[in-house]
Amino acid sequence: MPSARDAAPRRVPRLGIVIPARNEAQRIATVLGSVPERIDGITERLVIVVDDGSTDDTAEVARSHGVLAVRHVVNLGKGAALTTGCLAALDAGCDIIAVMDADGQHEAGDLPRLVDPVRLDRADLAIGVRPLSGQMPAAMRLGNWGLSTAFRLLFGLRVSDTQCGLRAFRAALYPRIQWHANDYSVETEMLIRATRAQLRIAQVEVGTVYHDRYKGTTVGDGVKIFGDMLRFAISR
Amino acid sequence: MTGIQLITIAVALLMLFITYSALRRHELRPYEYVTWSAIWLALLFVSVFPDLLRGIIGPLHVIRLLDLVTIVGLLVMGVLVFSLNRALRRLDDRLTAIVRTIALERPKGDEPTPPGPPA
Repeated sequence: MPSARDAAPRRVPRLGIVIPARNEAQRIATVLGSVPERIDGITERLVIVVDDGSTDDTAEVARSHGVLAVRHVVNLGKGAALTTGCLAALDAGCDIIAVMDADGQHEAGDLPRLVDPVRLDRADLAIGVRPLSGQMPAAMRLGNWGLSTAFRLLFGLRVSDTQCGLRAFRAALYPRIQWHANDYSVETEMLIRATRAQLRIAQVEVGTVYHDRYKGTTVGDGVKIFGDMLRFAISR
Repeated sequence: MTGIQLITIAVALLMLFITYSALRRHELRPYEYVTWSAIWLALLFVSVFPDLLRGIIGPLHVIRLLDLVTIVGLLVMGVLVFSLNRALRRLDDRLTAIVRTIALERPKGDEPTPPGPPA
C-alpha cells in the first residue's frame, strides 16, 4: 500500500472510479455510459463496480460494459463496498480515486470538475456539494442541513454537504482516511478522518438527480450517522 | 405457591426441554448444554424452594427473593448481551474479510477496463 510520502501526484495520473452497487442492473448501464471517456489531465481511467451482494445481474451488466466488476457474495454495506473498490483501485496502481453512487443520482459529467482540485494538487480530498434547494426532497434537505450543522459544531469544519457520495481523493492518502464503517456512515467517517489528518478539503458544487425510487439513506441511517459523529467527537 | 412461581417453573421446564432438543439437533455443544441446563435448574430450584434462599436476601438488602432473582437475571442478561455483541462484531469482521478476499480474487478473463485515450 502506498505511503503518504508517495502522495505527490504524477504528471499524468491514473484515475480509479469506484462505484458501489446493489441491485442496480436496471440503472448501472446508464451510469456507466455517462462516465466521461476522457478527463483532462488523466492518462487513463479504470472504472470499478463493486456489486455488493446483488440478487440481480448488476455485476454481469457492468462486465458487459467492459469495466472491472468485483462482487461481494453477500451484502456488506456501502462502506465495505467502497473499501473493496478502493483496494482494487490501489492494486491497479491508480493515483486518484473517485467514488460515486450507482443509482444514477450523481451526474458523472461532474467528475472532471471534482477531480481537478486533486489532480492539480489544490486539495487532497474533493467532495461534491449538492445545492440545498431545487430538486432535493424537503426531508433530505433538512437531514443534510442538520448533519452538516452538527459536523461544523463537533469538528469545526464548515462543510455544506457531509453526505454527498461523489468524492475524489489522492490514492496515496487512502490509509489516512481509511474508514471502518460498513454502512452509510462512510461519508461522515471519511470526512472526520480527513479533517483530523489535516488534509486539504475542496468542496465542488455538483448536480443531483432524484428518482422516484429512492434507496439511499433513511431517517434511521441519519440518526445512526449523528450517533457516529458524537462517538468520534467523544473519542477525539 | 404463588402465580409467579408457577409461571417461572413452567418457563424453566420449557427451557430445559428446548435446551435438550437443541442438544439432540446438534445446535449446542455439550458444555453449552450443561451450562444452560444448570441455569434453568437453578431457576427451577429457586422457584420451588424459595425459602431455602431467604437467608441471603437480608445481607444483600433485597426485600423479596423474586427481586433478587430479577436483579441477578438482569445482570446475567447484561453480561450475555455484551458477550454476544463482541462475538457478533468478531464474526462480522471475519465475514467482511472473507467476502472481500473472494471479491478481489479476480476470475480469469475478468480484466480491467482497457486504458482510455490519452489526455
